[in-house]
Amino acid sequence: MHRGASWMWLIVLLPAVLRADDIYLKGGGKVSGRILSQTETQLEIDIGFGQVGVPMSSVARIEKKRSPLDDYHDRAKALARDDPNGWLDLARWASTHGLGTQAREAYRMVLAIDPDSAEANAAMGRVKVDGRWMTEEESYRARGFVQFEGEWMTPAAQQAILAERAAASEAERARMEAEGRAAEADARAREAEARAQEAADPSLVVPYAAYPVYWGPTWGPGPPAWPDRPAIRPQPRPMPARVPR
Amino acid sequence: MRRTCRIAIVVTGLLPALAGAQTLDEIVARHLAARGGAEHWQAVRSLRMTGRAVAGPAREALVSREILRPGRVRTEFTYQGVTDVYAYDGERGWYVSPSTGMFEAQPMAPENLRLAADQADIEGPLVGWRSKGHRVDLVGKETAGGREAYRLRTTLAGGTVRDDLIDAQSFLIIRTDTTRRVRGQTLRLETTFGDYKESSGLWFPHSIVITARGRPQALRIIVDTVEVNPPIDEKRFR
Repeated sequence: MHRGASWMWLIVLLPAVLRADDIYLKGGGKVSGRILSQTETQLEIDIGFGQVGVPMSSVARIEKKRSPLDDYHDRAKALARDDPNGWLDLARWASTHGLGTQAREAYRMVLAIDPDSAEANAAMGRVKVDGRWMTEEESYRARGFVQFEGEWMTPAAQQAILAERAAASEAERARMEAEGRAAEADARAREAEARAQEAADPSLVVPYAAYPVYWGPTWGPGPPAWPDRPAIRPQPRPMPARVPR
Repeated sequence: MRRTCRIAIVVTGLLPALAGAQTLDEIVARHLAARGGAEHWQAVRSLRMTGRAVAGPAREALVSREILRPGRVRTEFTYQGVTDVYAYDGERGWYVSPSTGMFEAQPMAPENLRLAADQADIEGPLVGWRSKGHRVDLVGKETAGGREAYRLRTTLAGGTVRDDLIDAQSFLIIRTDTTRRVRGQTLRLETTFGDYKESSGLWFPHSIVITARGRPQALRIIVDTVEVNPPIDEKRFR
C-alpha cells in the first residue's frame, strides 16, 4: 500500500454527505450539482470539480434529485482503501457516466495501490516507453508532436498554420495598400470589431486551450474544447458603501 | 476529327470500368439500398440518438442528437453534470453552454451554423441529391482502412464539400473527409464510421471516430440507442 492512498481516500470521501440539485436553464441546458449559496441574483453551485456561478435570471427551475455524483460518493464510501479492483470498477463507472474528474480520482486511487496498473495508467493518458510510464504530454512529445498555441500537432501542421497566416497577412497587406489610407483605417476598425466579437464568443475560441474537440460532419456541433474544468465567470462585486469622512 | 471522337467515346465508355464497373448512379443506388432504401429514409420524420463522446483518458461525455423534419437538429453534451445545448430550427442556430459560462441562448457562430444546417438533412445528402441542388462526382476507387472504396465528392447546395468513401463490398460509408475552418485554421477532418446496426429497417453507424490531420487527439462517438420517428416537440429547436 502506498502512503499516497491514505490522504487521497479522505479527499474522495469528503463530499459524501452532499446531495445534488438539478438546475434547469431557461434557454435549455442543465447544471447538476450542490447549491452552495443562493441570492436573489445568483446561484453558486459545486459541480464536483469546481464551482460555477449561475445568474438567477437564467434559471427556469430547480429540482432536488440524486445525481450520478451522489452515487459515486456513496460507492466510494463503501470501498476499502486497498481494493484496487473496486476502485477500478468505480473509475470505469464514473467515466461512462460523464464524471471525468471522479474517474481520474478513482484511477489515482488504483495507482496509489498498484502503480503499474496498465488500465489505470492508460486511462490517465500514460504510455509505457522503455518500461516507464509517461504522461499524456510526454507521450505526445515522444511521438514527435509539438505544442503550438496550447494545442498538440505535428511540426508539419504547425508550419501549415504559420504559412496560411503569412499568406493571409500578405494578402491583407496588399489589399490594404491598394485601398489607400482612408479605407485602411476603416478596415482596421472593422477587424478590431471582429476580433472583439470573436473574443466574446466562446464557440470560436478554445476557452482553456486544454483539449480541442473537432466535431465532424455527422455529429455536432458541440463544445470547441473539452471542459476539463468549469468556466467560472467573474461576477461583479457590489460596490462597498462609501464611508463618510 | 472522326478519330478523335471515336477515342473520346471509347475513353468515356471505359470510365465506369476504371472505377470498378460502377457508375455514379449505381454506386449511390446501392449505397442507399444498403442503408435501408431511399423511400424508407424519406418516410422518416424524426430521429433521436444517444451515446457517449470519448476524447481520451477519463474524458467521456453523454451526448444526444435529435433531428426533426424539416431541417431541425439539436445536440446535447453532458459532462460532469453540466449539459450544453446546440440547436438549429431550419433558419436560426443557437446554443446554451453552461460549461463555458454561457447561461443564456447565444446565436451560433457561422461555422457551427453551417455544420448544423448540413446535419439537419435527416436522410443525408445522397438521398435525392439532384433535387436538393447538390453536386456529386465519382472521384475514383481507392483503398481505405484496408478496404476497397469508391470516393464520391459531394458539393452541397450551401457550398460545403465532403468526400464519402463507400465500401465496395457493403456499400456503406466507411469514411468522410471534410475541410473546415476552425479558429482561423484550415483543418482536414477524417470521420471514420463502423459498427453499423439496423434500427426500424435503417442502418446507422454506432462507432464514429473524428480525427484532424496532424493532431494527436481523436473524438470517438459511441452510439448506444437509435429511435426512429420518436415524438419530438418542435419547440426544442427554437
